Amino acid sequence: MSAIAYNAGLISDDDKLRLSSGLIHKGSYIYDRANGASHQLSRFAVYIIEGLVEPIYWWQLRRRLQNRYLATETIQTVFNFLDSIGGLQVDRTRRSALNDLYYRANMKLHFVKVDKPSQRFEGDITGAIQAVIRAMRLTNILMLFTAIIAYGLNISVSTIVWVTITFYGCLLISTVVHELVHIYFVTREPRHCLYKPALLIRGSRIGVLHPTLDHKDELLSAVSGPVAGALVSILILPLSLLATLWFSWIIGISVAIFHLCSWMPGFSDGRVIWGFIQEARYATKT
Amino acid sequence: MMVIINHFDKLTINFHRTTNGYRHSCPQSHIKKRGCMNNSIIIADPFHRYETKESAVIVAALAWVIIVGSTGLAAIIICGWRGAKSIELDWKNAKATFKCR
Repeated sequence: MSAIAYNAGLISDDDKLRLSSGLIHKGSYIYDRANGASHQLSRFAVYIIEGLVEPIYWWQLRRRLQNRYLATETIQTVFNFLDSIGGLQVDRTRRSALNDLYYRANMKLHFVKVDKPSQRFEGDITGAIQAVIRAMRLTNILMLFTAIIAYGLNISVSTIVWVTITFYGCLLISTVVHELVHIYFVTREPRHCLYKPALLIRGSRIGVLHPTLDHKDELLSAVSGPVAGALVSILILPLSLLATLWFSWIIGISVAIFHLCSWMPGFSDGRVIWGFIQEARYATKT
Repeated sequence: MMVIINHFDKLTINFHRTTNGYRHSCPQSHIKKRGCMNNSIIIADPFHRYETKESAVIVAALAWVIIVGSTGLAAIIICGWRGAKSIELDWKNAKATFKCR
């Protein structure tokens, strides 16, 4: 089996590759519908990109590129670029996922950081649901472990089941609303009618990829998204009146706080708001 | 000269690390005309920025589940599986007390 390593891991022969939806290849350019960017491709990059328009196994693409005498470094560069804009969709088999896992573990042992692969989803309701479910995968696995631990802590099975379902549902619905609000602020502008915002996942991080907004809209979007998410999660508070769902208020308030964490400067919502505050302070001083 | 794309955050772009591959020696005026491809595999569009609205919600939820799970796990390690136990959390002093009965 032959594999190629790039910034976001390992691509093995059994992996099916393709360009993400929203990326259009035309001649020596690749057009991004999310923000209207046109990236110029060299002759070598075109060979790789045109092979990715339709889903293709890595072994097939590898043979095709070998026939054109393309250097591994060139292929890696293109894959890294595509991954950086969420443009490379990799469908892995279990075997290749294990290969990737082994590669990552090995790299970590050698103190080399390997990025998590990015993935794009359509900027609509279906895409948002799919993206959030995908981003919550690690959370789900840990929730399952926590449920087993809770059983060991003598918490009743019905409480464990209801807590898990309520937490999952609250997190899923509120996050979808949060992202949809961001998408709304992009699509409501008529000048953005040609663009289609996309949802981008990298591990558990989720965000909306979009063209530049007006200063005011940018701020409104950054404020409204977390507020909408927090409000939706607070909607489950009345459920705590039911005896079996007494814990709902804890979940509702926790998830609402999680949404408001997006205002921290480490996240782009927060960066916009803090940038605006700093500008306002500077303007007042001067 | 490198094509510099501003405001790429953690979620989207790792251009800084991967820029080597897109490095080229064209003057800025040539880049604007989009005609120069010296020594570069891909020239990222310098006129369009990649903006993202990234939310912390799932990352925060993950951290929450890890905190709850690890506290429970600690109680199980100390008091045993299904044994009677209680956990007291003192957030002010960042202290957890596990009582096995």
